[in-house]
Amino acid sequence: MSFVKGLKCRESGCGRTYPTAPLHICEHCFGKLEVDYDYAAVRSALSREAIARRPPSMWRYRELLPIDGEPTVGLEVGFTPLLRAHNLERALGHAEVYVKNDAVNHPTLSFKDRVVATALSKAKEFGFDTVACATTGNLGNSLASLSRPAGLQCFIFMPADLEQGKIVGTQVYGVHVVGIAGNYDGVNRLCTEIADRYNLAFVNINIRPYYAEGSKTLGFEVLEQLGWQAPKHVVVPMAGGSLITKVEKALREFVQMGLVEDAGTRIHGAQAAGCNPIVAAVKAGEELFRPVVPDTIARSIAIGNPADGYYAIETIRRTGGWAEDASDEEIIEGIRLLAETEGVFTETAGGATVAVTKKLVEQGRIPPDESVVICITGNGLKTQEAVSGHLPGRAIIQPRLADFDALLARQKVPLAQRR
Amino acid sequence: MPAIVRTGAALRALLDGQQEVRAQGTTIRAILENLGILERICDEAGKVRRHFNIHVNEGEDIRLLAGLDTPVRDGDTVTILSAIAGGAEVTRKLWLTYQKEMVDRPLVWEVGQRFKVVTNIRQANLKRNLGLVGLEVTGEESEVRRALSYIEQQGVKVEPVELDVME
Repeated sequence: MSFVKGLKCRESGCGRTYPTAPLHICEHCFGKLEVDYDYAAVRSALSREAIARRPPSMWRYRELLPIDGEPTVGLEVGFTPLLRAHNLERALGHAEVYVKNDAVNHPTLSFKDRVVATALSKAKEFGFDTVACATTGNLGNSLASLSRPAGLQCFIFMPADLEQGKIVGTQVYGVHVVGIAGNYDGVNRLCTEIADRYNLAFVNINIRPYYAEGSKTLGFEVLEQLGWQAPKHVVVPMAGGSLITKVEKALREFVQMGLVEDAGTRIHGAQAAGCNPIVAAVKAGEELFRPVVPDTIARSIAIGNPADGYYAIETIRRTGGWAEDASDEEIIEGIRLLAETEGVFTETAGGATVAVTKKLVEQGRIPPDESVVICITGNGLKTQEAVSGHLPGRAIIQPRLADFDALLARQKVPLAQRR
Repeated sequence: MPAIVRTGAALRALLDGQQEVRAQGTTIRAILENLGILERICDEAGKVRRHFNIHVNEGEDIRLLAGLDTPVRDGDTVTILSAIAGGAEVTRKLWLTYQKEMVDRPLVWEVGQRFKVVTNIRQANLKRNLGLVGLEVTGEESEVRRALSYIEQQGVKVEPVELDVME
């Protein structure tokens, strides 16, 4: 049974509606299209009890996802841990911090598995046999992986000069990997032209409205895992700016469905200082952002002209949130802080999110007694080169006990001897 | 019974994405007015823009008849075609990003004057320091390309409406 009414233009003052089809841009005003649900029907079908009885995956919120039938791709995706981060609380001087850990999402260790599972389930409903994406890493990993069990032909478009690790993490699935030479604008333009010409499901172009809805499940899970309560603050990394709007949408929908009480949650956004168009606009009080040329180690959030930037700015402003950025040094400190306190190794985007949370606490924008959820969206094992030169050295010794004794003494490590 | 109005695929945006609509009116002018597209079809002087050819029941171009006053009877078919000859006609949907210095300049008008393309503003958002215009440009592929590179040479950023698709 479908709860989807169709697509609707997100621009206020437009709101034109379209049928459920592989469309993403409003023909009239060029605004973005968004999935529109029959919320009355969802409300009568969805309850805390019904959700709690279902398997622990993102699909337990299926009524609020844009598919007509049952999900067919990525049935095990989602329901990642929400940690109460006591050690991080001490480090930040804060009383109630949670970490939503999508660094261990199945199968490719990032939140992208949620959007890809949604996009591919929808692409199969539309009858596509080929899927594609333009990616800087995580999205390509996820699409390549999930396309295989789904039996879909898959094209991954990447800048030709991407790091080797990201290429390998996509090639291993045996899909068509296309490196694109030249500058970034050219890559963008080519991919939109390919999406125009060929009959394929380009997950972040022609089926983007469906794809993006998958991000809501991260928000749904946080609300359920907090015991059906909304936190006072959420901090979300921003690349294209879609995730932050979908986390807010998840909250809005759960409130509207009567599943959680409105807690006036403030949604905050994090970017790298070397690619901060949304942060700059929020700080300047502007509605529009200025595109930038990215220069940061945080490649996974280095999007200079964010597709959903306008809506991200609007979301932050409407919820009373704020936006901050983190320098490359702060990003590395953030990665280390989360690893050393909570044992979670996140990628650069997560480092930026932790660093920004720290700033917002210091600025008093997140008061120390108001609950905050930090969204960690990717795994540090994928971007080891970002931190490898910035970690404490390791001692190398001969295989002699005396050498180890000497090392302990030298480093003043308190380690008691057995009696 | 109203008249039937048709366009080619490239001009569908004129009719809100439809290839065929029905409209009331006893002249071409009245029909275009009723569809709310008279100003898009005509130039400042009130003449049919050179990029459009309009025919009634596959007859002569209305320029060779009574122009906008060419009569239309109930049940007639009015066809609006792009007049651009040769080459495949394309439509590009674009965002133009203007910096502060450019906001006052009538760039879209300039493009329409210099190149054989049809421009159609779908959305515009001008703020203190920045302008964002959603523009549809239709014409022969090479002409559209020349028009876009002209816009870029003026210091305006031109991008497909998808913005960054890389994630």
